[in-house]
Amino acid sequence: MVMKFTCLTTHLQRALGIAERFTGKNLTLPVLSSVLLDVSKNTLRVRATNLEHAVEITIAGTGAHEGRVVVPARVASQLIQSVGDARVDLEERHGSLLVCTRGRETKINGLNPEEFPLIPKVTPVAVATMDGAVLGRGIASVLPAVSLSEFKPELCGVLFHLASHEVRCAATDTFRLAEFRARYTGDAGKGMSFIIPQRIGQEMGRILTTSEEVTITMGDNQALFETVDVRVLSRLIEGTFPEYGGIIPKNFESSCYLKRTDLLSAVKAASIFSSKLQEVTLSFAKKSVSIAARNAEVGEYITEIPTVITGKERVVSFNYHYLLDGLNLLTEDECFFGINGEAAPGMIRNKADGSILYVMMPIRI
Amino acid sequence: MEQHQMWREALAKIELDLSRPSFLMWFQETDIMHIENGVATVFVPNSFVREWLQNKYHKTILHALRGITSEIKDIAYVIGKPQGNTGTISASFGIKDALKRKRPFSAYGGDEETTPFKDLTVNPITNLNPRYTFATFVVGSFNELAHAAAQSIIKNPGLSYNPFFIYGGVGLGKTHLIQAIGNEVLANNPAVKIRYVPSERYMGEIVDALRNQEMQKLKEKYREVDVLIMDDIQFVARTEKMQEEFFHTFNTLYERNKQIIISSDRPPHAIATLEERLRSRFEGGMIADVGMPDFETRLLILKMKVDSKKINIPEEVLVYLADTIKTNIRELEGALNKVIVASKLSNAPLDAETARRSIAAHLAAPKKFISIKKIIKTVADFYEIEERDLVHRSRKHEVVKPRQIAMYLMREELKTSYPSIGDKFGGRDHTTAIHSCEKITRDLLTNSELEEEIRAIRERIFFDRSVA
Repeated sequence: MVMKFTCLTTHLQRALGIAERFTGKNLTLPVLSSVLLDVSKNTLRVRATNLEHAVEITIAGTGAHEGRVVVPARVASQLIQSVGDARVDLEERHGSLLVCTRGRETKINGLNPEEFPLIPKVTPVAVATMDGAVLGRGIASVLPAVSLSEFKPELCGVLFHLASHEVRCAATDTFRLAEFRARYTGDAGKGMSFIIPQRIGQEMGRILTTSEEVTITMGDNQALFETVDVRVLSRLIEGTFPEYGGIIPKNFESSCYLKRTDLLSAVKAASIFSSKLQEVTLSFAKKSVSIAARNAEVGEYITEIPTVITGKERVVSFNYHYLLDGLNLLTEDECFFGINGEAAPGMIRNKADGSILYVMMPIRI
Repeated sequence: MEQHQMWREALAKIELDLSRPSFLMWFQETDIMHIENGVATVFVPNSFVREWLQNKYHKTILHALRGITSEIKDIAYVIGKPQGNTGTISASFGIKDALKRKRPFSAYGGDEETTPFKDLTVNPITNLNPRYTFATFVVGSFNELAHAAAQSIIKNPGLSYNPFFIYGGVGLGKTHLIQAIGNEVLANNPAVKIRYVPSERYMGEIVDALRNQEMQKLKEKYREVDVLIMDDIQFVARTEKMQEEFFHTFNTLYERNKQIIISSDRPPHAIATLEERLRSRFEGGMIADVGMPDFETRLLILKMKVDSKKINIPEEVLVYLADTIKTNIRELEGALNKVIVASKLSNAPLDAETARRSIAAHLAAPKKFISIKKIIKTVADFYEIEERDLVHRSRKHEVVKPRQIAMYLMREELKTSYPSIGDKFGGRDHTTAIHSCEKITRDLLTNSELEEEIRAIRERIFFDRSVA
C-alpha cells in the first residue's frame, strides 16, 4: 500500500511556504533543506527543521493511505505554487513524490524518510494559552529593535514575558528598545519568561495573524507554540534579558504630537542629506518641530512641521534608521514624540494606544 | 583526558557505519562528560540530537563504547557544551561555521556615535555596571585616600573600614570608585552577594513596596546582602520614612559585619536633614573625600580614554582640554567625545584650534552671554528688589542675602576678582566680598533651600533668553 493523499492546493501552498522558511541552508546535509510529508488517516503533516527550530503543519484531506516521503523543500514549494487547480493529489512511489493535478504529472526525487530528524518532545516547565493575534502583533512590533550583533547573545532575540495580568514582548540592541504590552486575560499559572531567536520571531509574526488560540509550552531550553494546525518548536536563547525598565523615560523635557506620515516622509527626505553618522536633527521649537540634515558633499535639507510643544525648546539628533524603524512600528495617524536632550533617550509611541513604546538614544554631535 | 580519547575512538568506529552527512549532523559537538557506575553521560548540542541519538543510534553508540571498555552499561544524553578543546569533531570539520548563519555585524553605520543605553550593561542581580573597574580608574593626589581605603575594603570586606563613606563634587568618580569596589569584590569571590543602589532607586523601591504591600520582601532583599553600596545618600535624607528604613537596614548589616559603602556629594555633618542617629553611624566608619583632579591627572585621564577608544588625538589638543575643563571629569569626557566626533567628521588632521571650536558650544555657549550686569539684574528680579538697592550701601536685611548671593555667583561664574566685586557693590572692601562668598559656600552645604534658590537663579541666568 503506497501513500496517497488529496487536499486543497491552497492549504498545501501555505504549509510548504511556512515549512520552507524553517529549513536549513546546508548543502552537506540535504535532509535539513527538505520537508517531510507524513500521511496518517485523514491528515497530512508537513514537517521541517534545521535542528534549531522545527515546524509541523497539519492539513486535512481525503482518501489517504499512510506513508512518509521526504523531498527538497524549495522544489516542492515552487512546484505547488505553480499549480492552478483547486485540488492536488500526492502519491509516494519508491521514495519519490508524485504530484498529480489535471493534465500534469510530476515526480520529485525524495530522500530516505528514516533520516529525517525526529522532532523532540518538550517537557513542560510552564504552559499558557493566549490570543494568537496579540502574540503575533507583540512579537512583530518589537522585532526591528533586535540586535544583529552576536556580541551579546541575549539581545539577539525577543523577550517574551507573561505574568498574572500582562503579556510583554521586548527587544533591544542597546541603542534602541521596543516594548509591547497587553493585558492578559487567560490563566498565566506561575508565568513564564524566555527569549526566542529573531528568526523564529519573524516567522511567528507571519504565522499568527488571526485570533485563534495559541498554546505556549515552555520547556528547559525550548518552547513550543501550537495553534490548531501549526506547531512551532524553537530553541530558546540562554541568558537573562536585561532589566530594561529603567531605560524607558517617564518624563520629557520636550514633547509633542505629530502626524506620523508627515514625520516619516520628512525623516526619509532628510536621510538623503545625512552625513556618514546617519543623523537627522530634530529641533523642538515652540510652535513646530523642524527636521534637518546636512552633508558637506550633497547639500542640506530642512523642513518644518507645525505642532505645539510641551516643555522646553530642545535640539537632538537621531540615527535616521532607528527613527524610521520606530515610526514604522506605530499604527495610529498621530504619534507622540518625547525627548530629553542629547544625552538621554527619547521615545515615540502612538498618540492614544500606549501598548507599543519605542525608545532610542540620540547621537551626540 | 581518558574519556575524551575513548569518545574519539568510539566516533571513529561509528563513522564507519554511517554516511558522512549523517555522521556530521548528529555527532558534531558531542563528547563524554563523565562515566559513573557504568553510565556514560554524553553531551549533545541540542534536543534534536538528543532525540535522534536516543532513538536511532543508541545501540550503535553503546556497541562502540563497549567495544572499547566493557564497563559501560548504559548511556545518558544531556544538552550542554563540551569544555575546551577536547576530542570533539566540531573544530576540525569547520561545519559549525557553515551551519551558522552569517549576519551583518552592524546594520546601520553610525552606531559608535550613538551612546548605548547605560542600564543594559548592568548586571541584573548586583546592579553593578561592569564598565567601572580599577583598571580604568585614575589615581591622583585628589583621590588617593579614597582609593587606598577601597583597596583595603576589597581585601577585607566588612572588617577594615565599615561603613565607608565617600564624598565629593559631581563628576569626580565617586560612582566609578564604589562600583569598582563592588566589581572587584565580586571578581575575587563570585559567591558574595552585592547590591548597588542609587538612593533614588531605593526610594522608588520603597514606594513600590508600600503600594504592593511587599515591604517585608524588600527588607529581606536588602538585609541578606554581604556588601551594600548606596550611591548619593543625600537623597535618602529628604524623607523620614526613607531614613528610618535605611537606618534599620544599616543596623542589621552592620551588626553582621557586612560591608556598607556610601557616597554623597557632601560630608555627613553637612547633610542638613540627616537624622542624628544616621549621621553618627556614618561618621563611625571611614570617611574619605574626593577632590578636584590636578592638571596632570586630567591629562592622564584623557590619554587613557583616548587609548581605550583607539583613536589618535594630538597631544596639544589633549593639553588644551585638560587645561580648559578643571572641575569635572564627566565634563572632561563629554568634551573629549565632542572632539572625537569632530575629528571623525573632518578630513584634515585635528589641531588645538579645531578642538577649541568643536567644544566651544559645549563649554561657553551659556556662559559667553553672561555679564556682571546680568547677574545683578537676575538676582534683583529673583528676589523682587531694586537693582539700585542691591549695589548700593543699603544694609536692609532683605537686601543682604541677595547681595551675598550675587557676589558668590560673580565669583563662581565669572571668576571676578574680590576687589572688583567689592567695587561693583558700592565700593565695598574686598574682604566683604570674600566673607560673602565664603558664607554662601558654607551655607550651601547645610541649607538645601538656599541650594534650590541658587539653582533657580543660575537657570534664569543661563537659559532665560528674554533677560538677555
